Amino acid sequence: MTRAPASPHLSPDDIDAWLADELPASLVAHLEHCPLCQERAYGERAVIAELAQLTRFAPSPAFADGVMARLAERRGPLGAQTVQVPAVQRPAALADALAAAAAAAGVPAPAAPAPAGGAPSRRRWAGRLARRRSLAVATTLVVALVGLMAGSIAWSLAHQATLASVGAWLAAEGSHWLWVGLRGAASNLLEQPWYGAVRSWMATPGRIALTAGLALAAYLTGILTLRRLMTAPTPRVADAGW
Amino acid sequence: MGVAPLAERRSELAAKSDQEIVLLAREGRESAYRELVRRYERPIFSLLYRMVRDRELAEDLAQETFVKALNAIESYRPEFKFSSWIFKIANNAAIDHLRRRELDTLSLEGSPHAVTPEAVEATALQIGDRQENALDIVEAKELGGQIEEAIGRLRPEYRSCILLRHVEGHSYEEIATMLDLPLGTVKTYIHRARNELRQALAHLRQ
Repeated sequence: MTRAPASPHLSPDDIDAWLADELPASLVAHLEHCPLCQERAYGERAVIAELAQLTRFAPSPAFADGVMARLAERRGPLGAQTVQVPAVQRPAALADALAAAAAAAGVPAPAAPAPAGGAPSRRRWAGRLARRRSLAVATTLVVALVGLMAGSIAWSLAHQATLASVGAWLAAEGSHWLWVGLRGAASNLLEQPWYGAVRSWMATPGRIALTAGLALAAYLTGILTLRRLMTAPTPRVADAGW
Repeated sequence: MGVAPLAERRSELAAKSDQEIVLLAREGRESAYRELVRRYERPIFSLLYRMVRDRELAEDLAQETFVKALNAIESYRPEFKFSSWIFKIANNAAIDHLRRRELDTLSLEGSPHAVTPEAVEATALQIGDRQENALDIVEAKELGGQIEEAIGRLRPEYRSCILLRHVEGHSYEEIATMLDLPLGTVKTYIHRARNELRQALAHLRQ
């Protein structure tokens, strides 16, 4: 951003310096006598003045509530620490509420209660309780799942004959309905008006191979076209740097 | 009871610096979260509105910006200005959106392959091309000034740089950090943007 040696005119950096009232005297003298530099410098000053006066738009009145609601969706409500509740009463109130919730969920309270005062301590306490609850729920699920599996295995071992007969019946029914479906599809195909033409076209292995080749080529063309269509456009903007 | 009135609490928070508010927010104080939103909702929304030129979308992106920032408040490094951090998130959201909606960008600036100003104009879709609803009319009124229209015609990277520099008052260095761009690139973008705006508004000064 420096001025080219051959150019006697002000560079953008010089104009920045002039706007900050830091332009060297020699260049100020140039500016006073150069219409081209005057047009650029005065024009940019006017633009900057207009930019500085731009309105700051206000979002809708429910904006902050919307942010808090979205935040609560992501990380849970922050309501336990709002300004409406005095800080000195908070540990006891929070502990009571959490203890009640824990009792309702059938989870024993942590051995060490919350130390008096201090939001981080309260959060640690709540975190420990949440972890214990999660652990209890997970343990219950695992026990239930293992119990169901064990019961299922035991029942299967005790009723092998029943299982075998049910399996045989399912296999027979399945093969019957598969055969019915195949026959239906085949008879439907035979009744199509174009079936005769297709059959006569497929009379030789060469024609079958040609048809298969054409179908494969059409399939590959479709895949390539889709891939081209789904390729992300080349970025034309600055790297967002996520 | 010793319960401070809400207004008093708010004025206490308003007197604190961003860094102090962030510390309170890290403790889980909802009032601190709300104070940060109150301080930055207008500048963030304005930047995004001017970037995407759609009020509803800008509000959605602004909310997402605050949610991302507040959700990651633990990872905020106090040695940086909070404003720089949240503007960086907002700008990333806008650029990310514009990148995904390339057609929207085209509608503002014309084809990237156009090499002459006439070609750019010919390939650009005008805002008036579409059917306007009530919201569009509000937006057209809000962004309909000569300078707003000229800003809307800038390339997105020029637009974000010029808005951060001359509307929000950030330094070149801060903008370079926010946008992860070299300082020289930021200066070039801003100088080019100013030059384009000067030319676009030249008729007003004559």
